[in-house]
Amino acid sequence: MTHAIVLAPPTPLQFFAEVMLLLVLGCAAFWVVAGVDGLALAGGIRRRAEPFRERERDVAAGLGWSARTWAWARVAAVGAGILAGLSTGIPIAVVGGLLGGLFAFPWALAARAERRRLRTERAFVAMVREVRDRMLANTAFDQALRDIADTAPAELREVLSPLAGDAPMAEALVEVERRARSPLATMICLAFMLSRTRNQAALVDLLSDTLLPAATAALGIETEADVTATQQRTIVYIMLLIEGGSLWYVSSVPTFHQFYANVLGQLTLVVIAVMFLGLTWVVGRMLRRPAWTRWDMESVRGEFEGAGLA
Amino acid sequence: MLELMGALRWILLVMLAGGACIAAAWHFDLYTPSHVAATRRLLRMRGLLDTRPIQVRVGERIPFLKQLARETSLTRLLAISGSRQEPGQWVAMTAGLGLLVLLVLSALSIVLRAAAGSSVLPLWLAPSAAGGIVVLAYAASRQSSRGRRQTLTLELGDMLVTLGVLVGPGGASVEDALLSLARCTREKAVYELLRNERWTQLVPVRPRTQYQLFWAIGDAYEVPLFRTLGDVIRSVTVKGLDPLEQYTNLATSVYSARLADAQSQAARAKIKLAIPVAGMILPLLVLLTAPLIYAIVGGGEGMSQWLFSLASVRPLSGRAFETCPQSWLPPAIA
Repeated sequence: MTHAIVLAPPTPLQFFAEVMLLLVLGCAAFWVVAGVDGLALAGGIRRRAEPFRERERDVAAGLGWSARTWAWARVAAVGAGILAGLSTGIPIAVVGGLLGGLFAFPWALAARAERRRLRTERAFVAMVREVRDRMLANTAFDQALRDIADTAPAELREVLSPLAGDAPMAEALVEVERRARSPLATMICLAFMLSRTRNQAALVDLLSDTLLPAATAALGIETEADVTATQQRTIVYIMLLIEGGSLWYVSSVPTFHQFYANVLGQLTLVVIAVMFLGLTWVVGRMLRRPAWTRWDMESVRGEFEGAGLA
Repeated sequence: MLELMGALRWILLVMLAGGACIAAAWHFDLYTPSHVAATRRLLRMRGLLDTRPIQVRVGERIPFLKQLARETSLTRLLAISGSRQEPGQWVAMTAGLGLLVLLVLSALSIVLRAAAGSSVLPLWLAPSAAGGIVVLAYAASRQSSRGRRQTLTLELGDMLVTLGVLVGPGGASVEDALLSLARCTREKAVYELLRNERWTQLVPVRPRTQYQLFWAIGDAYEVPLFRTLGDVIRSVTVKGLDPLEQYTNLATSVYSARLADAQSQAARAKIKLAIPVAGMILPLLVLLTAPLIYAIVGGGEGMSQWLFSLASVRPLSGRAFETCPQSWLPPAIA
């Protein structure tokens, strides 16, 4: 007598679980083949986050704050936004407060930071022009730079203060670059550091023919972009005011209030907020400034000091 | 009808099997006359037979295909973007990611189905999202390679400013000076390309001279500045021109071009900015018209049906409304 093994057809849930299991195994197999390394993945995320961190440090420096103060200010803004939302008792207002603290606060302050950075860069380029003129009048480069640092204008006093002391020139230039936090200043410091010991006549030519014209033109473009950005910012503020006023007005009409009090209405408000933030982000993306390479001046000093170039 | 289908199936099967046999016979030269096969062997041994891949040979006759193959080549994209992954690894990882999305959306679909009593998410959503992830991954690779090319151009242009000072009389060689400078940038794009000869991914044979190498890198990685640098190196090493003057002139022209580009972009941006600024009227319109649409389509139920009809999805069953908290619902339903 033979016993046939009869498999019962799986229930839909069993079938679904089997498909899920196959998908999980498929995922795992593909990632094993791809050689996904958790540590490398974490390193990649850190590397991708670095430009964001740099940007935040730039804003902090532009405001004249330390990075830590800026970080705490951002945390406080998010906290204040959430608290303000909670105080209204409307769930969507909490989301609004969070978005406001997260995006609107840095956006509003970034303009001030940008303007301050521009002022510093303008003063820096003027300082370079003066160094060039003094070198043309036969003053040694180091001496010219130290003399200017002693009588630096208010915008550059803190940035140039390392040059005023007796610190070695290469170290002082690294510190100046660190304080300036501007790619344009970095580029100029790099040229100073690599040319001062090797060929001062070449440095004068480099400043006159290449760096100063490029820096002046870049500053012109940045100033123009700043003016446009200020205009757009004003438009955004006006639109924000109109939309806030409209929301307040429609909330006072019973039918409209009824809509905005329910889930669908609140979702509509989220969509409106996301649209507004998105458009503001697009405006910011369109206004590009001239780009410069980001140098690690400590590495420059380490690399060229041994060869007697820095 | 069923008989016809059955017959068609057999015909297809026979055609497939026959095709496979013909392909195998062609591949293994089974019906090639022995003297032709011998001649081919001889030509191959002497390097006179064209052994390039078929896409290259076809591309030579049809330039569009050549351009298409070049533009879509995954190997090239990964090499330019500085990725350490092999194409096979990239395919495996992207497929894994697609499967993960499929998995998550399928699980979500079944959970929502259990909660609502009927299917909420359409059946096509999970596979479409998985396919979308693959397309996005490819687009991200293209974007990454474009960004890398821009970074290479930017770094190289800024290095030229001090390169002349470093390679002047009694100074370092161009390659050494370039490597030393490249090591000091934060992104290290040029350094990653030049160190350990990583450019061999796209330039398999090292050219005989330095300027030819820079030409080849410039062409393969589509960074024209490398080619221009090659020209200057040639004029310095072959014609004996003053390196300081040559490199400084190149730096000046690079900056002039870059600033002209920035100026034209800034001018274009002023016009383009009108679009998002005008678009800011949209949130205001939504704010004012959403309650009206809600009222016109007949409250919450009508609204949900209208929205679902827009998305071609079946509306939530009555059970979903019964099970969710009453405070979530619009007054028309609650």
